[in-house]
Amino acid sequence: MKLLQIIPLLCLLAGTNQALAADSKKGEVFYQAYCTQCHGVNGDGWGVNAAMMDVLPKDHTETKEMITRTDEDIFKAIKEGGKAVSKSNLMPNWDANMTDEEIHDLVAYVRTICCEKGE
Amino acid sequence: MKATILKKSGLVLLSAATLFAHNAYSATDIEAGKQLFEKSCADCHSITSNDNITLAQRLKEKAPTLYYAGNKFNREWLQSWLAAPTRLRPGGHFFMDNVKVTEDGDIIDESKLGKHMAVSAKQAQQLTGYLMAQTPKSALIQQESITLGKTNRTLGEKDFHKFKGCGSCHQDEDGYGGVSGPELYTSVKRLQPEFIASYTKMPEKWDPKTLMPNRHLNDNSVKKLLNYLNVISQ
Repeated sequence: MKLLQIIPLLCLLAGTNQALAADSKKGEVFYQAYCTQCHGVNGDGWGVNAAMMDVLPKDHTETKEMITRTDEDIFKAIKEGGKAVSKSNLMPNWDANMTDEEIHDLVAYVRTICCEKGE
Repeated sequence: MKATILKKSGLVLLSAATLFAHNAYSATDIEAGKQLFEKSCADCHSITSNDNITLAQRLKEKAPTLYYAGNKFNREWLQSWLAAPTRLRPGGHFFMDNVKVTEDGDIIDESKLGKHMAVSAKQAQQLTGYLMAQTPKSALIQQESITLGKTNRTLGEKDFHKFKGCGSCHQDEDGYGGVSGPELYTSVKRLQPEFIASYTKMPEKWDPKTLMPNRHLNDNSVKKLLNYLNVISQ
């Protein structure tokens, strides 16, 4: 009887995890809209605005550096801005432009640039 | 006695009518402006609500929305700009459409930037009449009470670039600042100060898929910024 109760619960949990899974494909559009102007079309930190900035935007292709950042760090930097993670104030908070779910999608996309090369 | 009063009231009415006519456009002009807009502008500019637009749709827009043009622009500036337009966004409406990736970093490919069409002085008047009648966001404008003042240019510049980070995307002088947003050294000439204040504080209330972040600035911070924009627009 107990086993019969656990199986549907496990199925439900699996379904929930799937729903919560971030979608890097969706995240790519957010990256294009909000990030490439500073971080560059290729994510290398040389966007169209970078030349005039006092602090260079992060190179998202730098695997060694980016792999040390947790998803939570990246999420916080996007949502609350650079200052919230002790980085530059020039990285703005995007909390009014994206929902938490959309920011998770964006984090997933950043991971594809920085840390999934050659996989 | 009665004749004098009537004469005086007549003069007051005449003065009011003259004053009104100075800032108003005739119904015929507005209708002509509407027809001209639909024929020549509607391919690139939207004039309907953008409340439910998706980000993907927003990125495909060819030009800024004119849905709330009457809440946004200074009418005198708009009318003269339509007759002799100049580029206000160094990177175009959406910079990604005009980016060229080079070994020295991404740059705006100037050859991709188009020129805005110009219209005759009469057509500019008609279009301005129609556009200035588009005021769906007056409630947001009414929340603002702005008196433009002075500020120290050096401190204002530091605030603009370093503390508020506006200079990352916007230029505060020709050729200095970011290129993905519109130039701001002409902003006070172009835009109603109440619009600048409201848009800066709550950009997503104007355009739910705006590319501008809401930096949660308080009234005093916005006032300081507006005074700087005022100084650099002189």
